[in-house]
Order: sequence, then C-alpha cells, then structure tokens
Amino acid sequence: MTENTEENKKEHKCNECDKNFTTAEALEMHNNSKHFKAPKIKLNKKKIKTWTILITLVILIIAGGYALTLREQLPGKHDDFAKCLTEAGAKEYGAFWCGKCKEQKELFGRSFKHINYIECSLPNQAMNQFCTDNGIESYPTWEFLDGERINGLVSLETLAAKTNCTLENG
Amino acid sequence: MAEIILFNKILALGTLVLQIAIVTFFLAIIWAKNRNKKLPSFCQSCWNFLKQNSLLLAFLTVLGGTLASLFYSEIIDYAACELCWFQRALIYPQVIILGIALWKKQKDIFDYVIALNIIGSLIALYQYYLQRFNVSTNCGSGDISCSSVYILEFGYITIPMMALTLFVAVSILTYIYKHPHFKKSEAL
Repeated sequence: MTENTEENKKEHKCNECDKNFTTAEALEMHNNSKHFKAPKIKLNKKKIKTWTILITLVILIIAGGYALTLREQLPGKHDDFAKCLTEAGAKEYGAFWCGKCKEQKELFGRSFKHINYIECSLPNQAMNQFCTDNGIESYPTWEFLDGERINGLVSLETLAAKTNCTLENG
Repeated sequence: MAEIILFNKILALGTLVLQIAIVTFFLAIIWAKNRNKKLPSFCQSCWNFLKQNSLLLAFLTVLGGTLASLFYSEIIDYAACELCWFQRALIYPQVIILGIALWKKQKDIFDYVIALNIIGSLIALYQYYLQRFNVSTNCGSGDISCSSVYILEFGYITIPMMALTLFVAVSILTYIYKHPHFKKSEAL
C-alpha cells in the first residue's frame, strides 16, 4: 500500500520545481498557479496584412468623406449671387427626395447654403403643413417678392433676370 | 443633418472607389491580353490580394450595402419605393449566402449569386434611368416615387447607382473566387 502511494507521487512530479503530487489534478493546479505560461498565439501574417489593408482603405474613405463634407463649407462660386437672391426675397420650396431640387442645388454648388430654401417634405414624402398652407403643388417652386411663382428647374440666368441680381463668373 | 451629409459622402466615395477598381480590373485584363505581358509588380500585388480575399471582399461589400440600406430606411426614415424593395430582396440574402460560403470555403458560390446579381443590376439600371432621365421637369408631391433622388453625389452617384456598382462588384469578386487561375489561363 505504502509502495503504491510512493509510486503515484513519482508519477505526478513537477518538471519545474521537482515537487511530487498525489494526483494529476493536484499537479495541474500547481502548474496553473505556480508555473503558468500563456499559450502561444500563432500570428497569421497573411490575415493581419489583409485586415490592415482593408481597415486602412475604410479609414481613407471615411477621411475622404469627412474632407468632402468640410469642403462644402468653403466659399462657393456664386456666393454673392445667392446672397443677393435671398436679399431680394426669392425662396425655393423643395423636397429632399426631389431629383430636380438636387439639380437646382448643383447649379449653385457650394453657394446653395446662402439660398432661402424651404423643405416641404416629411420623411414619408408627404407634404408638410407649412407648404400645404402656402399652396405648393410641385418641387422645386421658386417664389419671388412680388408673389410670382415658377415651378420646376430654373436657370441661374432666369433667377438673375427676375431679381435684378448680377450673375458673376458666367 | 451634418451626420447624414457625411454618411452620404462616405458611401458615395466608397462607390467611386469600387467603380474605379472595376474599371481598372477590366482595363488590366484588356491590357494584359493584348500585349501578352505580365502586369507591373504593383498591379500584380493588387491582383494577388484580390485573388486571395475575393470572397471576403464580396461578403463585406454586401454587408456594407445591407447596413447602409437599413440605416437609410430605419434610422433616417427614408421611404423605400417598390423597385428599392426588389433590390433589397436581392441584396439581403447574399449576406447569408456569402457568409456561409466564406465559412465553408465554398468555391462555386458564383453559380448561386450570379442570377441574383444580374436581376438586381437590371432593376438598378432601370431605376437609375427613371431617376436621371425622367422627362418631368418638376417633382409632384404624393406617392413614394421610384424616381426620387435621396442622394446625388459627384453629379451622378445615386442610391440605384450604388446598388448597381455593388451587384457588378460582387459578381466579379465571386467569379474571381471560383476561377482563381483564370488570370494565367484566360486573360492576364
């Protein structure tokens, strides 16, 4: 009986500090608490490279988008003209989903921020109460100080003629 | 509002990058085929990267498209028209299909998604035509129209154009995954 116990002790000997243990569990607990070694993580260089490239690309696109957004704040080509239109009482009624309103906006470029633009649409594309009360029927609708209205895409030249504003840079 | 503008710009820029990649891909094929030469080393590295990660890129593309469309409809509350719903129905399942293919390393996934991508491309092309070549000079208020333009960036990128780019890109990427050696034998 005694011999058997001795044999068991020899079988569960710690390789690091030569201590003997009666059971395998005891040896494992000892190793975990005294000689714990973190398992080696195999680095997959190929995967790291792939994800580095992808993340860099995403960061570059986000940074580019941010730069484009900031660029919108810079002065535009028709700033003086757009300010003049607003001072002359011209307003544009439009909707965020309307393609023609987008084209109208593109004509002004970065100067559109100076236009008196009134958003008429609710998120579900229905017309809001303000525009309904003002009798808006389609987008875009330009309204001038004398109450005259023009529906649809209007050229900058026409706007200049209606308001006596000078269209600079062509 | 500023966040929506930023999001639109990022998506439009991503679409532009994808379109440049698609055009470059075809130009490289034509160039190499006509001259029967090896690609320059940088292009070769890009090709190797594309070949090794084509399925992952296809999966990330459809995942990005799905998340973006859900962002527009569920967070910004943009209403989706009928044609938009058809395109969504063709994009959303591809997240699951390509996800499983990525996990199981299924080589012939191109055969499963190509039909979805061809139909999706045709619908996106038709909706783009409605948006950009709509004969009406103004927009009437009322029903949710498929000619609605929620986004217009760089003068031509709208949501259907983004969808069209996605369908074409996923088709090419899954094709490359199925035929990784077509470069040597067929084109490049």
